[in-house]
Amino acid sequence: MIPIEYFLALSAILFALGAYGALTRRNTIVVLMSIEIMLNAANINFVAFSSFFNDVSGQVFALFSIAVAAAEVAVGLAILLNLLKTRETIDLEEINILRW
Amino acid sequence: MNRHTIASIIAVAGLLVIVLGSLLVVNWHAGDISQIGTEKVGNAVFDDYGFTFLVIGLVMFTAMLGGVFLAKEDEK
Amino acid sequence: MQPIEFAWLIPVFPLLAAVIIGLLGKKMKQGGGYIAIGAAAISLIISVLVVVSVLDGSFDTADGIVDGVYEQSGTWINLTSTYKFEIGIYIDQLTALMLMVVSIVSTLVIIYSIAYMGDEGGRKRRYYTEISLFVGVMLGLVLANNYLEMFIFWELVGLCSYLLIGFWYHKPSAASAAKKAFIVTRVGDIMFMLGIIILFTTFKTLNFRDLFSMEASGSDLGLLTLGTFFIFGGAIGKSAQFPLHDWLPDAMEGPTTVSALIHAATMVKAGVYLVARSFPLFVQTPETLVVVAIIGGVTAFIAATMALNSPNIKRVLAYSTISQLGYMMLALGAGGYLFFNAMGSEGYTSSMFHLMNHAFFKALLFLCAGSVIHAVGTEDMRLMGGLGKTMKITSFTMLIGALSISGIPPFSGFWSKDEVLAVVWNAGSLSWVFVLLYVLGIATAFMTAFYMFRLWFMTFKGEPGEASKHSHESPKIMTMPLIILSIFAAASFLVLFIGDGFSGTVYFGDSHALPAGEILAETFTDPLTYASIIVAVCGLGLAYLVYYKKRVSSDVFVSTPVTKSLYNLLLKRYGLTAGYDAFAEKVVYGFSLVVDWFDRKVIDGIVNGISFVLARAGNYIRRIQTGHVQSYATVIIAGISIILVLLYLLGGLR
Repeated sequence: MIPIEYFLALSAILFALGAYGALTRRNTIVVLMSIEIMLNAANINFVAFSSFFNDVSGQVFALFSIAVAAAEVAVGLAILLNLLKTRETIDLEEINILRW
Repeated sequence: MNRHTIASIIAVAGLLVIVLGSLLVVNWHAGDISQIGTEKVGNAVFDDYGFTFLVIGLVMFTAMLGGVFLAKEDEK
Repeated sequence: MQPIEFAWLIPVFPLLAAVIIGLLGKKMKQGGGYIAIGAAAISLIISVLVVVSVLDGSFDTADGIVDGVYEQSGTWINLTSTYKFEIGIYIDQLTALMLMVVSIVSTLVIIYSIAYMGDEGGRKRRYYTEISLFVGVMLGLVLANNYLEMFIFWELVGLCSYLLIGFWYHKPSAASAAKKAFIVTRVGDIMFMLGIIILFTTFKTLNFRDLFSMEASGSDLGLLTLGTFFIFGGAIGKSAQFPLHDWLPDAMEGPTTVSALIHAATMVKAGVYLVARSFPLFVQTPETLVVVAIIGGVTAFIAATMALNSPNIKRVLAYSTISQLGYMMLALGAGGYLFFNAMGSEGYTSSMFHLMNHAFFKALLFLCAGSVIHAVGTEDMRLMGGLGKTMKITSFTMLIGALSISGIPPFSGFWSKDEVLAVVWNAGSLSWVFVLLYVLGIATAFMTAFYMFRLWFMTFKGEPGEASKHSHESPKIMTMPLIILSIFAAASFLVLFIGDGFSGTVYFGDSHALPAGEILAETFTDPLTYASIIVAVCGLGLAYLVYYKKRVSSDVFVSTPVTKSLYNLLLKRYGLTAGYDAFAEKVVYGFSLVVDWFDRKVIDGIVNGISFVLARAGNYIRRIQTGHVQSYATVIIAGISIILVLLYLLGGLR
């Protein structure tokens, strides 16, 4: 009923939006959320292929991907807390000591 | 709108155009949606990918521990 | 076992002696002089054996003889199958002649130096090392069998000349004379090298035997002419012909024994030897032969004019050497021209005969001059006089030498000089150039007799000068070589009459051996002979009148302004010395300044410019590292897009 290209296009657009957010926003927490969006776009892709080609391993992989994403966010937020402690700010424009 | 914003818009737009363009051109030979069923997915996880499931569990456990430790405040 | 098979040992002994004296000489008696004499004597013995076997024909039946030439050679460097460089020896009658001359004169000069260099102290070791080295490389040059080997020894001989002229290097004049000798002969050496390169690229070989059996034609002939001209250029430098003659008078700054050995009897002959050795190539190119003859004749004349009024005894002998070498070149040029027109090749024979005689009497004259200088301590003839009473042996032997060089019969110089002039006159029938050269030759003969006897009368006769007060005869070690050389100088004409005679042994093309009676008849019925005798006697007579009887005062030569300016011109050597110095300073030094400017500004500028550009570029490129993570991430996304495109284009994706 819905051709596969729609799912894949959705995935691509979501990925692009997530990438835009990760590259542009100044708040580190928003960057982490954009990375989550990118990961979810990849999951949609997996599930779409799994449904259309009748292969269960796509959905299994998506499950594991969700789990890993959760672990990654936990660690990321911990690092962000450390960043706040040392630099007093989470504005990415201000964290640029490793420059010329 | 500083320089960095423009550059990132261009890069992301480029990526989007390329990916969209390529996936719309390809003939996927896909059939119709078929419902696989949650029961099958669960069986596959525990039968074929059991070891991976346990490792992922370990990873989450470690992440939890690591997160708690990294976010700890120094005790005065 | 023929003695000729050991001929390669001839240069080895003096070279070995040079090494031994150089390393151990300090502890030896006389600074190693006896070792030097021993080595030279051994070379002399082997040379004599080789010459005997060449002369009496056992040469012709030994192994290794082809076409009357004995050759031994081995490949030294193999470039490709067609181009190779070899090293070897080549013995024919010309080689035998040169071996005789070089080894006899070397041995006698080294014996003489034991006494002459007696007060040098620690410097004797250096002297004997360099002299032995010189004898070794000169013998090697004579024995060489291809142009490359000869060139190597040629350069080594030039080096030894530099070392020995600058023997007393603390004297600035000696050091600069040595430098001048090396540089001026270097100009000749470059031309020689050019000639060798031309020959090598045209004929693919430098071996004498291979080159001499080829007959060039067509375009090869043009290249051969160029090649022989440049080879003659080398001879001009080494044999001090005009215009590269200026180094030889200055080379008299070295010890007199060095002047006798190197600049009278052996090294300067190397140029004449080269032309004689290359005679089969030269006779195919008449243009070069005319150049050879002209330069030889002009040099003979100019050098004789410069000798007329020089007050320094060694300078007069140096100019005389240049003049006589001019005679030899003239004979080779005229003789080759005659041969080219199929009129016989007496020129070759007469030039070689004059070479042999000149070696003996010039070495004799220089050693006598050395004896005089050793006794009176000065080289200025105006301070000498009346030495004939106290130095009888020296005076008598020098008289024999002077008679010989002036061409008074029956001494050897007369026979060879007469033959040279006869050859030039015969060539005059082919071209008016040679008639002109004959006139120059006769004038030179007159001047030769005049200045030689001016020298002899000023030194040995008349009132004792300031320096001759405490003169004494030289020790026996010095007078013995003088006596031996004077016997050679007086009697070497006898080789014309013994056996096949000189003409039957050293010849080019066909031998023209004549029995003794015919030679005498031919010589004394020719009016030219009497012309040269009369001219020589006139010269002697004029010198007698002016310097002995003092009937005509020597001031007559500077009485009028014309003659006075001519006198000064001759003393300044026609201004050529100053001219060369000015040329070197303005042109050569100026050119080197230009090259220096180029090196500093352009080449260093390029290097500095590159580093400047790189430093500036680095300054701009470092701004890529902003420290802002999101810009790095932007670049990553852009890179992924590019990789996707490239994968598609290069066939990774469908």
